Amino acid sequence: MYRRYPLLNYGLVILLLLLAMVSLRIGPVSISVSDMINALVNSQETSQTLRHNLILIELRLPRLLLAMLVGASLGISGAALQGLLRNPLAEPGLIGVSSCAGLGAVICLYFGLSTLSMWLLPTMAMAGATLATLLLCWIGRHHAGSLTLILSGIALSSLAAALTSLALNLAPSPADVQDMVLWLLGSLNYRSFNDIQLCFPFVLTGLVLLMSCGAKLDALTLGEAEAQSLGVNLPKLQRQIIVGTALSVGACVAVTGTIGFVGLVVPHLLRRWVDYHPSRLLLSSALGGAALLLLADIALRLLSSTQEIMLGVVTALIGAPFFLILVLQQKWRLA
Amino acid sequence: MLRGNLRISLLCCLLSAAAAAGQTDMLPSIVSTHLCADQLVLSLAVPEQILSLSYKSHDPKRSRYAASAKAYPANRATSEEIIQLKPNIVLASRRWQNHPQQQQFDLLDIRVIVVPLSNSWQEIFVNTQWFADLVGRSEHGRTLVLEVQRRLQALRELESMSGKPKKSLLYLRPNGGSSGAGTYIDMIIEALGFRNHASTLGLKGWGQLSLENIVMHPPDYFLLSGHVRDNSHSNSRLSRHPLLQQLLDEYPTLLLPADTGYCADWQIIHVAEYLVEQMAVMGLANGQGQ
Repeated sequence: MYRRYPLLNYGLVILLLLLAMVSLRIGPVSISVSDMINALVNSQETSQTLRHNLILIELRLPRLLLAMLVGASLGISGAALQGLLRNPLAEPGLIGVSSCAGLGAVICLYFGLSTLSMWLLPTMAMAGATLATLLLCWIGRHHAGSLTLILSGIALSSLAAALTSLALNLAPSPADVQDMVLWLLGSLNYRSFNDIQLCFPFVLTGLVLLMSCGAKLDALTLGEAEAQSLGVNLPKLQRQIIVGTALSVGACVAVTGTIGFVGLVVPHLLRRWVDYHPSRLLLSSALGGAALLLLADIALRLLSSTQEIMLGVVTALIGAPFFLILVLQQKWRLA
Repeated sequence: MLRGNLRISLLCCLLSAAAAAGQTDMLPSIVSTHLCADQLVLSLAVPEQILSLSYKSHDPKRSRYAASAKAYPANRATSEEIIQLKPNIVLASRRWQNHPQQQQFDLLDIRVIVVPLSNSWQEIFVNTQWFADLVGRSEHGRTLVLEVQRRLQALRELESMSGKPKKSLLYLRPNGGSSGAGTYIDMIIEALGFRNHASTLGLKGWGQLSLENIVMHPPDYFLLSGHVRDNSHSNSRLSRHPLLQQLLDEYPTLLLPADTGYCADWQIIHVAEYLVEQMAVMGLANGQGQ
């Protein structure tokens, strides 16, 4: 039982590597394994190898890396929030960070600001996530209870959803509605290293913040009073997790749009395998989130013909039934 | 004597003006609710016939006739506007056919006409004449069709002067949208003497191409869309990708004007001529090699 946790992580790393190889192989242009190796080793040999190299390095690799980064952020944020709030329904979407980031982007699209600079949309999305975070931190400082935080997050999320709907409602043209809806559905298509450069520092800071709160989350499983008696500063822990989630998820949403269910499903799926230790769940959820999002991206690329299927749609299609089965299984097991 | 001649001339003028006014009165009144129909109306109908044009016709970013269109009231294609204007003919898009107020229009004797799409130059000539007949301007339509045929012939003669193999041209929208055979873009590409690269890549009609395919099989020339609706953030992601930017720096690129109208009607001859001018400015030959 004790050895299951490292084995799980090794297994997830191997799965991630396998999925990464599959992801690099899939695309509208068919490139054989030998051509792939040739393109990566001797890219200047012929014009064909040069083109294969460009497709692999400039088109498929950024997409693969971004899928891993976003999946890891969503997975670890979900695990940290579920540990902090001791609520299995907690996920980045629940505390309003994703929806506020989405609202920031929608405001940018509504007022046509994205045409002024390509960086304005991600900046506005991150500003939305930051605002939500500041508000939640303020609430956390004054009303430290987990329930208050959850309810405030739900209220914030609903408000952001209502304002997003208002923007859609008042959109000047059907093309503007389409623009906002497509962005909200999430996608990794045609992302480049510029997008990774933009979100990576924030994601990395967020991941470090979240990874460093494992021991405190373990203590919190005993209850808030017991954790405080063990030296856990609860308001500080709340701030650390909220800021970590806002940085990593906000930056990802800014680049890819909103992608749901990964943060909810992955910790649930892996919790049993880490013997219900919140600290162990963090790394496993990051790896599992990366693998799940990569799998969803591979699935949508295999399913999409001329019209692209959006990533948020696929994660919800995979995640929702899977989550329902998981919940029912646990219910039957307890019965 | 002179005063007598002047009186006779004035009388003739008055009589002919009265006859013309009578003819104009007999022409059907028109409300256009669609940008493509607006352009046809402005080019074929007399001003007295036009009761209203679509609101898009007033937007210089979308309509090359925005200045002349502003002489007419704009509409947003609502039933109330149509009923109040009570035209003989409403020109509408295909989507408008299922309008719930269709029965009310029938009661008021308002005909809803959908302007057909043209998939070849021949269809453009037929549809232009059909539209001219519809608005009671048959003779004007015949003159216009002959004029467009002459201009098209001039373009084709220009491209047939060189016997070299045709170069390929790829029409590309910022979302990867392109057009194969059977589209008005294909007609323009053919008139310019190029080979449509989208057809070579297997596209029939309207569709999308992946950046991977474009990188793998680049054309000799790019033709980019300047349409205002293509500038939306989500739809223009392909065009912002550094790899496409790199390709556009490497290959000669032509640009369609934003106010082209993007309608498969006789006015695409303007677009073809505009592109010929653009190629001349850039020092590029027509579709055959330089």
